[in-house]
Amino acid sequence: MELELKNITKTYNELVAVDNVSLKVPSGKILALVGPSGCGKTTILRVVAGLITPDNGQVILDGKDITRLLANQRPTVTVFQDYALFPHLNVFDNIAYGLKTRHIKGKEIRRRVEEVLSLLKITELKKRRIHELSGGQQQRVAVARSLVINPQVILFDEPLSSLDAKLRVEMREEIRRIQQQTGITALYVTHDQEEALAVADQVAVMKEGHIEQIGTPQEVYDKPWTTFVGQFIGWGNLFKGIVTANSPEEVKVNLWGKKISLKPKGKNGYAPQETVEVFFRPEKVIPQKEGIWEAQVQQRYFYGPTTRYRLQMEGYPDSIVLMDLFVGDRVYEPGEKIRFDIRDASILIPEGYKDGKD
Amino acid sequence: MEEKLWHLKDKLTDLLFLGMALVIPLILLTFVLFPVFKVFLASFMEGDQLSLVFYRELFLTGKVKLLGNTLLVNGLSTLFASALGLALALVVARSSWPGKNILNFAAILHIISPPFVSAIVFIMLFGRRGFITSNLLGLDVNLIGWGAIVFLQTLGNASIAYLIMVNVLKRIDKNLERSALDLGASRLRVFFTVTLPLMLPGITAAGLLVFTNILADFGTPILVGGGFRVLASEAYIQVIARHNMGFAAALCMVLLVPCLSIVLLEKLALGNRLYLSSSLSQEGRDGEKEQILSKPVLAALSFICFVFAFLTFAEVATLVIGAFTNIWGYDFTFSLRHLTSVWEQGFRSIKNSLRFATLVALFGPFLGICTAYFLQKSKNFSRRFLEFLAILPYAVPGPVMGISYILAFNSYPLLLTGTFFIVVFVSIIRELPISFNAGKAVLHQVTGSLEQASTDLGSNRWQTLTRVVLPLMAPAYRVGMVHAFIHAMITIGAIIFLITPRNKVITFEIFTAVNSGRLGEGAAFALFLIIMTLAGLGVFHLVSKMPAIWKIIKERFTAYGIRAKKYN
Repeated sequence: MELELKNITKTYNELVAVDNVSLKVPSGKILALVGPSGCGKTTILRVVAGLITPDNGQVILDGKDITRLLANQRPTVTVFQDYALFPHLNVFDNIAYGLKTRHIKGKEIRRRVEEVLSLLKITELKKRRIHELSGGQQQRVAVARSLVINPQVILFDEPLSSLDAKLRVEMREEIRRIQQQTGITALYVTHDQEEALAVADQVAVMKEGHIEQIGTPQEVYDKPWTTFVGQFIGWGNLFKGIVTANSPEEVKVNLWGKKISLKPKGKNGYAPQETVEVFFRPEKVIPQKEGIWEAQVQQRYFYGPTTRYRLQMEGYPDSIVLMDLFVGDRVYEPGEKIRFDIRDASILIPEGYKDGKD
Repeated sequence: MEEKLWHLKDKLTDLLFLGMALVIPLILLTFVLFPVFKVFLASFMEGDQLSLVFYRELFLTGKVKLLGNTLLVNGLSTLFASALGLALALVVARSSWPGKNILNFAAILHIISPPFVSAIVFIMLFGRRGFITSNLLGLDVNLIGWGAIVFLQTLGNASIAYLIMVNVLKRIDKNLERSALDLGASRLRVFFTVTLPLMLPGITAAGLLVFTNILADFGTPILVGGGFRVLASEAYIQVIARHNMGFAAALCMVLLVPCLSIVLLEKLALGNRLYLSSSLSQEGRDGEKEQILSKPVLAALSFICFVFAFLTFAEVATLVIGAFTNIWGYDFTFSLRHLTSVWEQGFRSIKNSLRFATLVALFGPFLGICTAYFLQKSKNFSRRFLEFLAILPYAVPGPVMGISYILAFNSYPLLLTGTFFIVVFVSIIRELPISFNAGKAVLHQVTGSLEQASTDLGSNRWQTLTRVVLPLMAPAYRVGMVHAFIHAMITIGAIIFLITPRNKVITFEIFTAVNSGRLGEGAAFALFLIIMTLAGLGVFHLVSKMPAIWKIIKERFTAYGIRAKKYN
């Protein structure tokens, strides 16, 4: 079932929560909406669920306009933040709730509940009361309750935010597994960019009610369009450079007194002497004997598979560069001088710049 | 010198704690347990003989009708009041109805009015010489009777039910309802399978409170019941008119048993069953709450709310008009005579009411909070028993309390009946459970760790008490004071039996005025009472803000450098 949003706008007392958002979730895929709190991602989710009526725009499911349908008439189902499990019912009755409202017979209910219980690996919790469950177990019950009614679209509203770090990773893999197994189209809201990258086929990065960038996790990570996306997704280095020469194929930029050649983006040209935002990932900082820049190691942090360094640029006291090295790379000591090059740097569209996107 | 003072204060604190350890159990035993025991005893004694004569009279003669009457009126009123309260709560907590503030205001008006103000208005409008029945419609009917009691109890108690239920409803996670809706349930189904079951403890609590409230109210049945008698009104008549204390005591026992079992039941059964989310669910921002009530349901509920608000304001309006009308029912010209006569002849009662309410508001919470603090400190076996005594007054209906005090304190060495002290004290004891619970709730949150921290940082017990414990208790004290003040202003159930002509209060004046047909005077007194209660609350509000205001002023002066000298 393909889900499409067309020009959705929602305003609360003059505060624009969602501003003319359009997107498509292909059938059987997960699209993650990611952004800081207040960016409008949950509002979009509730518009799809039918819990909020948009001021403008359409929700289209499998070619049918469902914008005006009430929540209980839609083939969508939400897994709520904090799960919203009914505290007065046990696990079985929670999962059976949606089936009972559909007037399905007792036998069939039992069969289908058992089925999702085993899919979620929680068969032994059947008779438990909700307050007797751990966070992770509640999460599984919430997913089971949503899956059992065979929804066409499943909506995840920050489903993992109340779990601790390790369980969060486990559950997001579990959600991915179940979604792949059932082939349900899913919209997944989270403020955790790592979770979004890990769980989704497509990631839409949101900011202040609009989508900044939409693409596969790789695209969003490797080729951020704007400074916001670059900084919100993963770790990044962002410094100001000055354009010295400009052609349709390449832009020459002066960064810390050295000229580098970058690809122009989303804009027909840059004026000479224009200041631009140069962006590169910490793992793209490569220490080399003949590196064109020089810096001093200020701090080192051991992360396990990687080691992070804070580098103080020589002659630029305000510039601290993050560098990630991997297991097996040479280890540098604080105070040590280091020369390095940068790979895959790009020019990003600064905040507040509206017309730069293609 | 300073060190000496330090030790002195520490000693003083020890003494204080020792004093509390002696005084508080003594108070609880003397003024809570002893009177109840006396009622129990009196109901089984004829003269000096053990006897069942009073119970035989109650259950085996025509008086048994009292039980049926009480059950009928109580059952219906509780049902209707709870239903009305639920409707009000649903509209306020689950819709964007514009008149919410009006509903809240109407509910508060009910709460601060004496229980029989609506009875006065009912007589003024629908009595034999009622404005609507007689003057407008020209009918010669009398709507007085058990139906009138049910109607007034419903209207008056719906506010209490509403205030409890709206709190519960606001704290039920709205995502649960959304989730049910999202899973495909119809709105009606969501209400019956999610909202209602989750509210059930709240509804039960509200229903039980309303039930005991109506059980204790003798004023309404006496004023609008005509010849229809219930247990409470019969107890009142037995004491005031017949001086038949034994029979009254038996009636009290019959009132006391259901109330006590209800309170115990509530404690046992509902203790852990409230599924409330920790925070109030967010309001306003979502704009999606109208989802749970469909349009026709909301329209019907809104209509009910509108009628409720209209009746409330019509009641107050009638009261005001009545206070300024020459002779209600006969001569509807404007007149100040009721107000002036109330001011001239009732001035003493007005003064008494204020003095009385202020004393209760000051010392009621003090006793409750001290008890909470002391019982938290003490670890011995008697603690649970004393705790039970501290909340027992909540389960004792007002008239039962009053009658028990007559029985308990009419002889040497505790010859206290007839004094102003006993009137104040019975009200302080009636406030005990409220401030005790408020204090306990606060203390529960700190559970000694803050006190330990304070001691650990080098404070002695005096400093810990004054700098840590007392400031923490301030909010509980404030809650207790507001409640005590309002309740003391409008109470009658317990004190009517203990008041003497010298220490009459306004509620007493209203009741006697209306009972003897002086409606205008009653209305004028009631008007004074409502205004004074509102004014008292206003003053209280200002005073409780005084520390903050004082701080602002001090900061201003500091900013101007006036205190700068001290630091140089």
